[in-house]
Amino acid sequence: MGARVELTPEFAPQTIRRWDSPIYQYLLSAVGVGLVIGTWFAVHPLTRFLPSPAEVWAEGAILVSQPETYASVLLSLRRLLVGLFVGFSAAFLVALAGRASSWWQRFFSVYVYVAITVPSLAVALFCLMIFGLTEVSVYVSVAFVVFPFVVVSLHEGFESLDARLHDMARVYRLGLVQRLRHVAIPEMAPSLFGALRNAYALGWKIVVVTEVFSAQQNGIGAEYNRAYDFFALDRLVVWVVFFLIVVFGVEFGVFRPWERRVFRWRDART
Amino acid sequence: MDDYIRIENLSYWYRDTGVPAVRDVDLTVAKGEFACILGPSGCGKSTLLNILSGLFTPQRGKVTVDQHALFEDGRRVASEPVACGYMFQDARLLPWRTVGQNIALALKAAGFPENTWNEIIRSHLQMLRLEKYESAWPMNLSGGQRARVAIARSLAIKPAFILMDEPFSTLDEVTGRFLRAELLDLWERTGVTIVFVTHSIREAVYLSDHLYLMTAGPGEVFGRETIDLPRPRQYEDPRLTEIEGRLVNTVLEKWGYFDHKEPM
Amino acid sequence: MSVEDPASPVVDGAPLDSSHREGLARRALPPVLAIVAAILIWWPMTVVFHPFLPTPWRVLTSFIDAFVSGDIYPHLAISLRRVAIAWILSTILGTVIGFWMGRSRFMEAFLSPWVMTGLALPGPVIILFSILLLGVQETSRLVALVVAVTPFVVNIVYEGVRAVDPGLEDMTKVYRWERPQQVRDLLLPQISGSLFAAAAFAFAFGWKIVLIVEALTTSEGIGGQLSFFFRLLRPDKVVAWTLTFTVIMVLVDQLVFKRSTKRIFAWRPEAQI
Repeated sequence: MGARVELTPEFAPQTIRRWDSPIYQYLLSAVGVGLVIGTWFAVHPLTRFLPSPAEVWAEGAILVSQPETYASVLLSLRRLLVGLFVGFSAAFLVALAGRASSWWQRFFSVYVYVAITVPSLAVALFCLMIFGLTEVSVYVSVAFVVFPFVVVSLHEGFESLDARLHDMARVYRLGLVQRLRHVAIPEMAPSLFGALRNAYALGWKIVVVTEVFSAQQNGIGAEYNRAYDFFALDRLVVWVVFFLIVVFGVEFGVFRPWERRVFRWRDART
Repeated sequence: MDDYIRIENLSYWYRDTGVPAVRDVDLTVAKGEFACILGPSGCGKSTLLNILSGLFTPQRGKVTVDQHALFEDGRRVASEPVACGYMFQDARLLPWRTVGQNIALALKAAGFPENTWNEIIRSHLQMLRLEKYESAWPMNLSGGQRARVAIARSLAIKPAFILMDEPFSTLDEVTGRFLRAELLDLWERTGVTIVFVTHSIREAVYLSDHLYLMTAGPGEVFGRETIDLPRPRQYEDPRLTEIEGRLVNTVLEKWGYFDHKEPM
Repeated sequence: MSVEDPASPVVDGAPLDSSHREGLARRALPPVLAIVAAILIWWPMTVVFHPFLPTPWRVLTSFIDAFVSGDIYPHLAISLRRVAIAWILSTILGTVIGFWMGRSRFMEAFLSPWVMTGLALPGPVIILFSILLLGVQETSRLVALVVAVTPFVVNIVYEGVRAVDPGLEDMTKVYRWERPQQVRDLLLPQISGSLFAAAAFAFAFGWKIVLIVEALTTSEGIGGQLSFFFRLLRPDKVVAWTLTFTVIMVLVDQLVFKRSTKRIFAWRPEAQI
């Protein structure tokens, strides 16, 4: 045993500050949001272009009461989900092929590289020109943009598979289904979640980009466009808030609780 | 008494590098025996267990369990698979399944009907004084508790034999001793055959009926010692110390400088 | 089902890495075949999607034409300038904010909702906002670019600062290091990797987002021209100009941020050469 080092209070390691408690954290986040909204309240009468909070609130109330609003949100959501499904399926097949043989991995890595590198605007415009102003354009754009990132995530997931657990499963003669369900998939869960989250965030962006350029009548991107065309900043603000509600609603309402459930076995580690 | 596990003229080398791991190994274990395989690290002890468990296929030699051939001259002989329990160096539980689910998975894979699982799990957890932890996550357990779950799992499937690969080497001294005594108690109660691999001479002498001495890698068996001390044995028994001292002398010659690489 | 898996390379020692034995020709074969396969699929597709999908030949001539006629150079210069300004500003701003958030729980809680929002907002929204607030002018484009890129820089730097080993920090407190020494010998070595990654990301993201900003607000710059060609229904030009810009940006990326590109694509066998 070495000599004990007595630390004076100001040098004590990892001093607990009162900011560290979760209540303060939430409170501060609320203050951070509130400060910006407060500034808006204070500043808007001084400018010509800023809408008043009351106007935005009124606009929001109108939009919330209109069924077209929900139709637009749902339409964008459908485009996103179909695109994600196609992108994930393609990525899964490619990642599996890459795992099966290094030849195929080298073959597909060209496509993965190209898909990662191409700017999403070009993808959206190109798809809109080839497939016309149709749903297919949005589906293909989303799938194309999301695809390479999912391949990389899945590849990382495959790499993280532990040979020791695989041995254990073989010794105790677990069948293929059991090995997948109880060993491989839980082992890959972190990468699968990572892939899902990234693809979801990225997918929303490309949906909006495609919708903005597609001159379509509905969808969140089209609503942005319309608000912009009318020079209606209040409407744009409301639509951004709707968008954020959907994005964060899924993040906090689906992904986080789901993740907490799947990884509840980890609690002990901390 | 027939030889229950019989290994004849067994050789194994790594397929990719061609480096031999074990060479010309002959070994027999009787039913219900506690056999220890003692060798320095890297001598191919684990390879031997991996062959017995069916993970590796040896290139040469014959392996028979209960008169059923497992391997013959580099081929896996198609026969009824032998259920074996395996305790790895780490407990190797699935961290995302509870203690009970971990055992249930092994039972399911071993073909036990589902309505028997609960009873088997409960009785084995009771045997290892883990009944409180049936629905605990492995990460919430101490190292010793995890090792006991692994013992419970290996016993639960009613194996033909249990293979143990230095299962207590990562535990602290007190927990290790405790578990060794507990393992011997379980072994006497169940009559299961155990093949236990270790590099610790004292552990081997304390546990085994017979112990096999292996050379440094590529491993060959160069000696068989019968430990006929009465059980239950005491860890500090002078007779045990005496056998240990004699073995150290034998082994030093064969292991050469390999022994100092293994701090106990 | 048999327990034995005779081909399993994982169990029987280290997997045999055959790629080291193969020659360059065999290694290069799959990527070359991939490109050939893409072109072979592309060509018949041009018949299916006639007249919307241009032939590879058509794209190639547009590509050459853009350089020979010199049409592309002024637009390239404009876009490059925007990328450079946005990259410098968002890297500096993002590093400062990210560092601050990483060191102070107060700033972390205070700013994190805005960083999360910034990460989630699609590029078009930011540019539309910026135009409506500041009017159609160069400043609003640059502001939109910086606002779009900065949250990502903040996020990377913040994570890097949070990953600093608290044990080492305690050590420096015990030995009573002065502040400058702490920054120079403790913090910087530990976060330099994430600072570099943040700068590389800001560039890689910036040159893509600039296209969206330009496409929505102007006809100048590569993005502006892309939306112009889009409205004229000239997919060959869209592909050719995108290709040009992308190749230049990737070359810059490779030259400046070589290390980071290698890391991002480290899983690709070619990148390990």
